[in-house]
Amino acid sequence: MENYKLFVRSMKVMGKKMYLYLGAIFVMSVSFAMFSIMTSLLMKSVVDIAQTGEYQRLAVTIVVIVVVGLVSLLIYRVATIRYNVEAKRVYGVLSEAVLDAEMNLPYSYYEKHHSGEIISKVSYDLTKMGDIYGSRLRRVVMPFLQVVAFLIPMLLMSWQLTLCLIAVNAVMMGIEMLLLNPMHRVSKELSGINTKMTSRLSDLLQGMEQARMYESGHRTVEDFKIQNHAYSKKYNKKLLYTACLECSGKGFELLCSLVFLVLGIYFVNKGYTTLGALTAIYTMYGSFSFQFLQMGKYIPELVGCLANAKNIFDFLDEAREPKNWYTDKVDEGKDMGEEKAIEIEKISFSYHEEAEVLKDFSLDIKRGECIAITGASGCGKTTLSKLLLGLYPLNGGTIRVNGLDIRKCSLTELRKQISYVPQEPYLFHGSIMDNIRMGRPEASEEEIIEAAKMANAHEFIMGFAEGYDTKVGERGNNLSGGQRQRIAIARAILKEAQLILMDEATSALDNESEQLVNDALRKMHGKKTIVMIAHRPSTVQLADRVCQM
Amino acid sequence: MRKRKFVSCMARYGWLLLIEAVLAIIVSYTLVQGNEIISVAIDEMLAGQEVSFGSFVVQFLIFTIVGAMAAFVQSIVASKFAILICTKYKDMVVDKLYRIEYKYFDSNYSATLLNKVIGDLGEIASFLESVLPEIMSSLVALIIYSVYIGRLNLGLLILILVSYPLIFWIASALVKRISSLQVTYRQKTDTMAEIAQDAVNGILVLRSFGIEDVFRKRMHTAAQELVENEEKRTQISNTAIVIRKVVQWLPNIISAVYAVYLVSCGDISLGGLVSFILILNKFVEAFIGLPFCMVDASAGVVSIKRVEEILETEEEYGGEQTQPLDTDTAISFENIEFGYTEESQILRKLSFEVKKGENVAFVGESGGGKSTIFHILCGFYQNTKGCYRLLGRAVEDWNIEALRAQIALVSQNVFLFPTTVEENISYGKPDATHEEVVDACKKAEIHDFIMTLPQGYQTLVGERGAILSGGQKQRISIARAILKDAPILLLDEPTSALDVETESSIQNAISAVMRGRTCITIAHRLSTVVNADRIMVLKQGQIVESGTHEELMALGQAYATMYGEGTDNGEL
Repeated sequence: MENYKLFVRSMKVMGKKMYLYLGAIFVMSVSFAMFSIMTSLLMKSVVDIAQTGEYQRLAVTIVVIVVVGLVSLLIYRVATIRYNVEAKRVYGVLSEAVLDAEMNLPYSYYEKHHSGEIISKVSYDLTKMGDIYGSRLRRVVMPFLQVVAFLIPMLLMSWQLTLCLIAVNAVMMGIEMLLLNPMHRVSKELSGINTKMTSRLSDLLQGMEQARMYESGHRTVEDFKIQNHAYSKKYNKKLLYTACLECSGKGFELLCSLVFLVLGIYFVNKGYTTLGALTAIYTMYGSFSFQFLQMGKYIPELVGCLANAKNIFDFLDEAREPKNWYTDKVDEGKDMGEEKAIEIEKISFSYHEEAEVLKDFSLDIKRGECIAITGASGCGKTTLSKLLLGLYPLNGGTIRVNGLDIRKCSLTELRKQISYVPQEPYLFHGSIMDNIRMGRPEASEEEIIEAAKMANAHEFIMGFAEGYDTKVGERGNNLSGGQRQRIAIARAILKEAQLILMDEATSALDNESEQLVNDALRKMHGKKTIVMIAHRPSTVQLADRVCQM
Repeated sequence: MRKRKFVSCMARYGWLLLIEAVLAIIVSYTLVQGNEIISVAIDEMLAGQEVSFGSFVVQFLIFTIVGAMAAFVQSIVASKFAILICTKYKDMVVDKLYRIEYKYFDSNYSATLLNKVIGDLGEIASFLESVLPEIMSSLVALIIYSVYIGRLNLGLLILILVSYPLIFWIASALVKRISSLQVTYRQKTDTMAEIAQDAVNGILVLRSFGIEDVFRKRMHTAAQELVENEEKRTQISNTAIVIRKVVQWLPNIISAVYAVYLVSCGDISLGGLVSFILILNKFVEAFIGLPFCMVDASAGVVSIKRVEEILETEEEYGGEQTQPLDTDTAISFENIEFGYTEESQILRKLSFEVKKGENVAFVGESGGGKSTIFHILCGFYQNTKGCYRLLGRAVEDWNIEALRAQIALVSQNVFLFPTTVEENISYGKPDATHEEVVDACKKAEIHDFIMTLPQGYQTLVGERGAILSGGQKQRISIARAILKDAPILLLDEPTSALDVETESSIQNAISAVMRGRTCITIAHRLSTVVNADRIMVLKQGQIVESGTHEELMALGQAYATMYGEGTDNGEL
């Protein structure tokens, strides 16, 4: 039942294209079966003609059969192409949906979950789910439709024999259905181990420097291997089920030949059917039985893939970050040109139930002011910046940014007010230009260069052979910390928000880079409201006011 | 050369493949024998004789049981073969990744690598598990059926064999096109995985800038390209199927007509004709199945190639030596030259020496090569010109792991593994006792903080240490280094992410750790620099000045201008 629901939901993902897709499978199956039927009819005529000796009929019969067969093939081709294109299209749609989900989860989700888990969804579960559209469903449905298509001429030629053959096949189907549930269970367990393996591997790859410096790096490798061997062991269970399927398949193939032989000879002797019809039924029965077996064979695989689909759906169903934490009715609000850029009113917050990180904290920041927030490690400075960005709901109190009340306005609107420079300046795949443009996707090249100049980044960028088109490498590995940070600042400048929020932006920089960054800050001083979480005296010194937390 | 590792892996379990082949023969043979019985019975029937069911039913049942058993074992052997190879292969790949040249990671994103190992190995598994056995069964069936038809009438066999090679020719021409499209297909899925990973890892930036749409657009484009590629691919692969169907029909028609002719001449019996038609079906199935399998196999081969690429990449190399020489010089660089690419040289003929127990600080502009020096010291970049000696031995002579055992590195990017705090710290020394871990934490002044966490040392840290602040991560990393207890300590901006309050205490901790050890620091802070025995000023990959703080300030050149401003603030 659950599988059925999952399946229906998987189909609904396609929207209206679902009909086109299912229609394509239908046409594919029938036209393909038609071709095989033509082959069998050819054999029937051959045997009939050999038996009766009417050789003059041979040419006409063959021409008719060949023409019908060729037309079937042509229809088959058109349907197949449509089918494959639709299958990949829905895979694309799903990838987009998963991306959308992964971008819009509440921030706490990312802190609690390993990104390897999420990557595994994309790389493993999504691929497996894509297989439903690309092959698994077709492999289940096509045999079924073809079986029906074959049954019609078979029943017409000899219903007695055909029914007997179906009875034998039905028993075999029953056996295969019995294996359905255990197969599903094993697939699920295998997928679980796979996720673990992906996580271990992702740890190893991302923490490679540390992994090599400490002999414990071996442990991560060993851990992976242990999971790998656990997978292998679990797989032994699966291969037993697969072998059972294979065994019953081959066994019944022979058994059916026996039934065919005994009954066929009996029926021909009794005159219920002709030798030609018998040959035709048997050649068709080859394809029929093959398709019949396929029907059972691929259902477990489809079910296995539905387990992956379930993982994807569960992920898609994860609660998204709401438009606003407190109210459903979002007040779009506007910049009211207030004198106060930020008003923090008696806010309290805690990550866990017990320990309150912030309690009744208040702070007002005027427009154009440059304020430094300092304090001991773990006192909640970084938390404060996350709260300003609305990443977590407050326990009490409220924050107003440019007059927008965090309890009323949409989080998107709130974030538009703030240019954020994080402690670890994350850079995305792509060029330096692409990365700065993230600040304002519609910005022109000139504006980007202007922002880079403001951030004191232009010079070092031009120092690269490819200038702004230089690729930054994963996590910006091709650049030094100071260079990354200045790109992050250029990105923030480009955003043109009134408020710049810097979370320990200079803390990881060397002296020279810090001076360049501070110089960039000086250029903006007075034009923008700057909130910096900092502890370096040289940075703090830039501020009009220092708030000690 | 190409599929070297993979083939050796397969060869190791070759005996399973052999068993599989024998079983495939048994399965096909029982099928042919079944048909033989049918043919005989039909001829008996047409001749008007009484058909004795009893005798051949028993015979037939025996065949059925033997065939089914053989199929059962064959399936187990095939899966076993596949999983054994895959497990071995995965082990090899992960081992390789752990030993591969470090620079490999400069040009290969971890998302791509993950996709390779997980995705491609899956592809390889299905190749071994279903495609390979199918190729084998088809081959065996082909041979057995050929023998059968040949015995029936040699002319018929020749007729069929002559008219079929066309199929192979067409198939192989198309396989080439398809396999190149298969490569593009995998590249597209790689791109999609990269976009998804980028979005998760950069979520904070992504969210605060509200650029979800940029990523949506990127994914959309990638997905569309995938669909376009698929359309091309299907058109070709489908042409293959259609042409094959038509070509396969031709000999079918011809041989059927020829067979009718043979019957009319009385060369074969009517029962023989029926039996020929029945076997022809199976024969054709196997025959077309084969090139069909080859198409599937080409996808598997693409994946094998991609993984082999990893396995073929150079490994870190090293010598045999595991013990340091008895010398006063901890580290010596002689004319070291290094650049990440051919054009840009980061280090130019860099030479310096560090005595045992000395405390040296590097200062200089960002991108000037300080972090690169650390990477070379740890043996991450090996192809440098010049000579690097650690504790008296040239780097080439060191066993790479022994070399790293001499060094504790506290780097700029602290990576915390998503497990407990304790496990993260004991990463420095796998067999450390709880007491040792606590002791190291006390020294790194992180113990008190850890005790405030909900589950103390057993608290899980989020990925990349998400629940910890920069300073806390840094101190955990220091605790790790303390636990490692190596004679040489490399500190890359170790106090950089700390706040004022913790800085002085961590400074004490560091001085305690540094005592009795050789220590090299990439420094920005006055306190670090003043305490250093020697400061080296790095500029454009060369050392331009060196001396104590006082000496360099007195010199009044690069160092003095660099830090003149900072001193007013009590830090650099």
